[in-house]
Amino acid sequence: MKRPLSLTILAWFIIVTNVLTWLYMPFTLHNPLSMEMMARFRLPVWATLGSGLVLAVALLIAGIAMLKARVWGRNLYVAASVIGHGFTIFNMPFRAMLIPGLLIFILFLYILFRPAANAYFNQARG
Amino acid sequence: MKTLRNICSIVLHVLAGLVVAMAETIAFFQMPVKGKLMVLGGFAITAVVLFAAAMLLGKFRSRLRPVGICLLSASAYMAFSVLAFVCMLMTPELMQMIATQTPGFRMPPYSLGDGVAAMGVVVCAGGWLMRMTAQRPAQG
Repeated sequence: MKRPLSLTILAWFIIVTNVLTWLYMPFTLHNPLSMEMMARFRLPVWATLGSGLVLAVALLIAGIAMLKARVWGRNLYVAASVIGHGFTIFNMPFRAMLIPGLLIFILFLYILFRPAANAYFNQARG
Repeated sequence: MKTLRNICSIVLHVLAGLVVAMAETIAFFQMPVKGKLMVLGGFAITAVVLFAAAMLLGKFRSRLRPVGICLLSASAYMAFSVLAFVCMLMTPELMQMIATQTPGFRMPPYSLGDGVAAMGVVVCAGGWLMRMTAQRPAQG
């Protein structure tokens, strides 16, 4: 079965944004506003940045696995995102700023668990 | 040749979508009604010209469907930006931090009603195009 277009776009979006996370990191370190924001988080700056980078790697692997029709890629994406959001809820004092990210995550879950996406992953598994 | 035309068409669709998103952004700013209408009209004409060029160049099954997708995508992007902006406003601590870090920072006066109305018009147009082309998929 052909990969659903929405899934292809989503997987590439995940790959590109997480590569950009790594590329953008040096700029974050030199951005006073970002640094001041992170200074107000519960955890130290290095822990916030480090966890973000580890999460980006996990999501990047998930995106690549989804393009190769691996169902564990989808599971990894969901698990890493849930952990990431949970971590952010704990770490970030600006709670209202979590709403856009959570809405995007719900939209992505819908795309990942649509019948067409289920059929694509199940066929590859079977 | 067909591929090249389609690539050019996609680029033009994206540019037109960006123009629509920019127009929707401007609709959110508070400014005199006449001036705003003139600016929005200018953006609308630009978007129509770009969409027309994209439709003529592209060799897609349906010529209008990509336009509908662009209009809806631009509005979805704008709706998400507005949501992020509202969330930012709901965090006074963050706003204060931005004001401290950015010399001369001033929140521009905005008009939520105008912006939502403009977005509504674009969504209706996009939705109508999608519905129309869904009924006649082999058009064009």
